[in-house]
Amino acid sequence: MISSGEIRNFLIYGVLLALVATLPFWGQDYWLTIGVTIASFAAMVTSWSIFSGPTHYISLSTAAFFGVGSYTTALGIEYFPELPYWTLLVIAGGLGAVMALLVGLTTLRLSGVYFVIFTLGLAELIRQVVTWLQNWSGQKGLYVLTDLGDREIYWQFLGLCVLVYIVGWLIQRSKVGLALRVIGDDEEVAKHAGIHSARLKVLLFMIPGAVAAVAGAILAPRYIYIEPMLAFTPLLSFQVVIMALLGGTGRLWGGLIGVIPFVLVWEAIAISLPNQTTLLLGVAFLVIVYFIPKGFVGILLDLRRRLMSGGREG
Amino acid sequence: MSATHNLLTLDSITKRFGGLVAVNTLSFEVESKSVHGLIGPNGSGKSTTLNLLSGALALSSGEITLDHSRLTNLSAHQISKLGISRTFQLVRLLPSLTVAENVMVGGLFGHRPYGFRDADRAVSAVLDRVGLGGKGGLMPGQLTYIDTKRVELARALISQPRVLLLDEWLAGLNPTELEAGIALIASLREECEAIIVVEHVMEAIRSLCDRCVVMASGSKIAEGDVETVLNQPAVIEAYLGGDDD
Repeated sequence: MISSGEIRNFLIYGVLLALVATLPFWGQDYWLTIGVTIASFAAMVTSWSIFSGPTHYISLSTAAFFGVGSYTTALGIEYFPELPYWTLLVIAGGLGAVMALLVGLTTLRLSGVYFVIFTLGLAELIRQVVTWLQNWSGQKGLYVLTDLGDREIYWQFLGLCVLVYIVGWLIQRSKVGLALRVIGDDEEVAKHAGIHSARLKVLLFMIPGAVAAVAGAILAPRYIYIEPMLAFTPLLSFQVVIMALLGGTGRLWGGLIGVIPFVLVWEAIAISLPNQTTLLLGVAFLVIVYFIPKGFVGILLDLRRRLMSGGREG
Repeated sequence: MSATHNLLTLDSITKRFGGLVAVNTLSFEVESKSVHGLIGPNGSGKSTTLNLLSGALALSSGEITLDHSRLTNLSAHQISKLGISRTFQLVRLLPSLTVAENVMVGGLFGHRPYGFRDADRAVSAVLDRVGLGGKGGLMPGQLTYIDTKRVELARALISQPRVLLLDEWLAGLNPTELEAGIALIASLREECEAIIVVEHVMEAIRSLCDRCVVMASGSKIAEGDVETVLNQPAVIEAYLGGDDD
């Protein structure tokens, strides 16, 4: 059942989406570039939050999936030029999902810091393997030459965002959404209540894996030339986590309100202090975890609760 | 009254942790329509036995069967679905979920899963049942100790379990709460096919249990109806230290 409040929200989101979709027609190139970055992170951060938010399984493997997606596009264009472009996105998503399935089967028995470290190590491992393969084949990187511009890339990311939001919304309002929160609170209780936590975690972990791979596939043409250090940069995995925490994982829209300010500030820093970005990323991480552990969502929900209880009880 | 039958059978179950044998070839049967006590001094293996029954721990050897279904080597979620629900010795509520959501978890995934809409109704019915009517919207942190125990009981009950495992559910209650608690558990006889109670409170064992098993150092040292068992010299020596009551 869909409530009237939800229909109203859908209408609001629809209008907002239509507005931002017109950005390429009125925005300057600079803002379109920023728009691509925001939309790409919105998809990756939100899908990351769908799994890691409620379960508290912090994954640092976004870069691994993203890189595999980028290489799918690059290799597809190079070796299978007859394949339509969109099939590469589907293949990338499928590869990301299968990879997440394999990773999930081996790692989701780990918990806490062991899971975090394993996912980080995994991304690094895949980067090293791809680097080794490239050296072995005698190539340094791959050209990704298409006629896709920022405009087309931007629209593709908006489409991916819509898909991620719909999936996230369906999960949140289903039994699965509650099961994920139970796993995050106390996995032992989850199992004793009849939740097949191992299977659920593996299945849900496939979502951020597939989305990050599709994001990599969509973004590859923008780079024109990709190499392992670029496609598998560990920085990406950390950026996704920081933006998710900044926005707050308690609500689906948390990702977006973390991504927008972060990307804008990041761009400003990258221009004025290009050599200190990693340092400042670390500082931002500490500040967010220490001062706003529940992110902007937490602040907004607290504020609303206070306003409502003030209104009712005085 | 219809006849009773063996519902749950533990056949020589053993649990080893390295060199330590926490439960040693323990066997007993639980009849339908009964409340079965499991007692013994601290460290005698009662909670481990409950953990083996609920699937929290895997057996080292032995067999557990529920009405001819083998529970041996099944995981906790499978056992829960077959109709064994439990509470925990140290209450484990889900801190980020409301009381109603905590209870709903048992109703959506357990032995007799409800759809979302029916689950709402079942939650308020079971909350009323355990004395938490009107408290569904509270967070676990806002509850008194006995109420947290009631929530856990409601979460186990909503799945309509065949066997209910209560791990020291009455521990830590004051005399008034204890009386209410015993009455509540006694009233559950009609709802579950069997109840297994791990308890230190003798008053509760005496008034609730049809039979009991006494454990010491991982082994069964006595079994039978409560009064007979509690008067056995071995039990008095091992468990009660000679000063029963």
